[in-house]
Amino acid sequence: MTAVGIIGVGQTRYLRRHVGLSAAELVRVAVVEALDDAGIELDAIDLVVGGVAPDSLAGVNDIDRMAIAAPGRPYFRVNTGGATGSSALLAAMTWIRAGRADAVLVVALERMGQAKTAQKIFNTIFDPIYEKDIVLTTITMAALRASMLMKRHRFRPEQLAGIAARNFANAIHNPLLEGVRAHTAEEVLASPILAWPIHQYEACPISEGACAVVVARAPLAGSRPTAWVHGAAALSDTYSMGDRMRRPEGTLIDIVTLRRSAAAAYREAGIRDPEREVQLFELQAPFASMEVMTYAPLGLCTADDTKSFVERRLAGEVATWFNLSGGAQAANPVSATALVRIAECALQVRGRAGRRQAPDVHRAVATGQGGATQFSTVVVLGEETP
Amino acid sequence: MARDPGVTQAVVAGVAVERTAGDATRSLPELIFDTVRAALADAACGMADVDGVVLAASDLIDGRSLSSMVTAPAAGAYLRDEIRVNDDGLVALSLGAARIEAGEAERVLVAAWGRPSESEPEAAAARAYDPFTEQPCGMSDLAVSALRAVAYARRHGQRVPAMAAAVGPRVELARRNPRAAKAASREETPPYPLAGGHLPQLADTVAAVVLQRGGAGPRITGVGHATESFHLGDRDLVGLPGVCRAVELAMAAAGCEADEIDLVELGGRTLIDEVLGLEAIGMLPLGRGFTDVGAVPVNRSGGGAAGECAPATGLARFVEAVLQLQRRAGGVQIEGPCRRALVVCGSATAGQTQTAVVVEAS
Repeated sequence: MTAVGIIGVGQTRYLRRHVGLSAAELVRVAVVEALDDAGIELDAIDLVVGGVAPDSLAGVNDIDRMAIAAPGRPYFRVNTGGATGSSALLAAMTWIRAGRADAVLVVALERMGQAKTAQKIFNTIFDPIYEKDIVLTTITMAALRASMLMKRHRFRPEQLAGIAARNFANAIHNPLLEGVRAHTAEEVLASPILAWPIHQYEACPISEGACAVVVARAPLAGSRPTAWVHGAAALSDTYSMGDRMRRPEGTLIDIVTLRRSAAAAYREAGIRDPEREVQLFELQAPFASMEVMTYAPLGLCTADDTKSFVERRLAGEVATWFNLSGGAQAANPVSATALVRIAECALQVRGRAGRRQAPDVHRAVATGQGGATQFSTVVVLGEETP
Repeated sequence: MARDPGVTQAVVAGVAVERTAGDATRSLPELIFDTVRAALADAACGMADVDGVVLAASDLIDGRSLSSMVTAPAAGAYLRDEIRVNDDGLVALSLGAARIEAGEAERVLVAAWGRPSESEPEAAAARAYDPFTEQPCGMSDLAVSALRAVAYARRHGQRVPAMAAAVGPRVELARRNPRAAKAASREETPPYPLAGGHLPQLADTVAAVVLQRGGAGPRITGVGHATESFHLGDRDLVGLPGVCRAVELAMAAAGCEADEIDLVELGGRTLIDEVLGLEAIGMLPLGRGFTDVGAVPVNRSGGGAAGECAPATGLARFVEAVLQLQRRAGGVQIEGPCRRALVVCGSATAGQTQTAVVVEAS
């Protein structure tokens, strides 16, 4: 298939609420920066793909039509919940590989700060008869999984808190985040419990912002700093959590969609040992417990060895970088967050991550996760032309 | 950009559409499941043979945030590649075809649906307009259609009542279409100067298409997408340049001219939008589209009178076009040759984005 790469990245700051900028202005900031980073004009863009998840969060329906859709240029919107941004990138890649475009602009926008109570809106993603009234939300859903994870692996609370603390330690180097402080594991455990066993500092904040990425094929890609797509895959699962408790394909905490997506993306990228061959993982894991669940599906350990891998990570024995941006725990603009993970990987591979740049990032993996942990995407980026 | 002429074209292996006037005995996932199963049966394959699923659905019409959480598995997206566009079904069809053209999949299932019997499509669309300058004025997609009618009447020196002349023929076509909804699921109140006959029959609509690489069946030979300004004041509400541009691109990709099209299915919010679109692309005589017929059969399905709901309209019309090419359209089958069809439909807001598809008999 046609080689495709990311040649431009633009991001706004990620704040709880952008008071001074409209949705269209946020998009403009990200798009202008992405085009500038790519060194191209809007005229070179053949398609714009928008990423906006639940409309209710923004308070205006189809807000992308006003804010993202560029007159005169083909446009459509993708919505796969938390995986929206990465799904939009995959659609852009499809367009290029089909020979329909040389360059595509992917723009994801989140305005959830306009909602008075985001969790009330997230309550409406669940079954209106059986689940809505028991206050199932994205947090309580994650809490159910977290307690299952702790029971299975006998995790101690301070271990999950330790993972959160490591993300905050990275977040303070990210200039796109405002007001982020480093928190120790003890401080994480001292923060209020949102839904047991999840503490406030183990969960993502409400975040607004926009992220734009320019995807292209040669000669645009390759003639300038490019993060090439070495592999990519997506998979969807059933919504029903009850059906995933004991099924042979994988339980609720095995994230079979992520495991199979990673296997497919690694196969395409020729990756056999991800811990050695991938230098950075940017994980769309809004909760520390969720991040821990991704290690085994991503091939970093077996399911049974998850606890020992966490212990190695906390002891500093894992050389691989995780969430150098601070990850989704530091900022989680739902519609954009999966694209942010990809953008951060692209910046690292292209050596343009500024204060958060790590040395020698030749290959990076970004994940996307949406719905009831049922939509998974994995994108492998690398500096070498595939 | 110019497309590579050697690109693989997606073949339509199976289609299905169901329009009902509010079937209270089946849930939305059940409606979706039944139609997807019918499309797979039409393609003589099962979900095990499908590599990916592309969906078009709107949370606002499904009545549930991130509705594809529960509807995608009903469309076969269980442990399978799946993506959902928040646009008309023709966009999903285009993306599904692109997956095959790109070599990413051998067989793709495309599905779209809308269920007005349990939702408020017009109210959802109205809340997409500017909350400060447009929503307080009662702006909605129906209101835009009414504005178009007035602008059309002024531009072409017509009287509004003359626009009712096209109502009867399309209702008759819908009556003959075996796939049309049998009764309206919800009545709407038309804003002046629209009349009841201009409005579509809102029906619970699910459409599904199986695309594959190679094999027998109609081929998708051209696709075009176009975008207009969000702001109504910046748009030509009568000339519909977005519709024209999408059609121009699709026909250029297919390498055909307007006189080589045997059938057009063009979706719009009302009969006004349908006729203005057909006039804009030259398939009905300019300024006389409500009273005269053109050289090419248009909206043989009965158009909006057959029953439809965004965002399923475009894909439902595509299914109708494919059935015409395969001479399986039943009571609305074109008598003469039908080898190449053009399908056009817009997405929110008031057709701001448009998609056109050319499909040709094998």
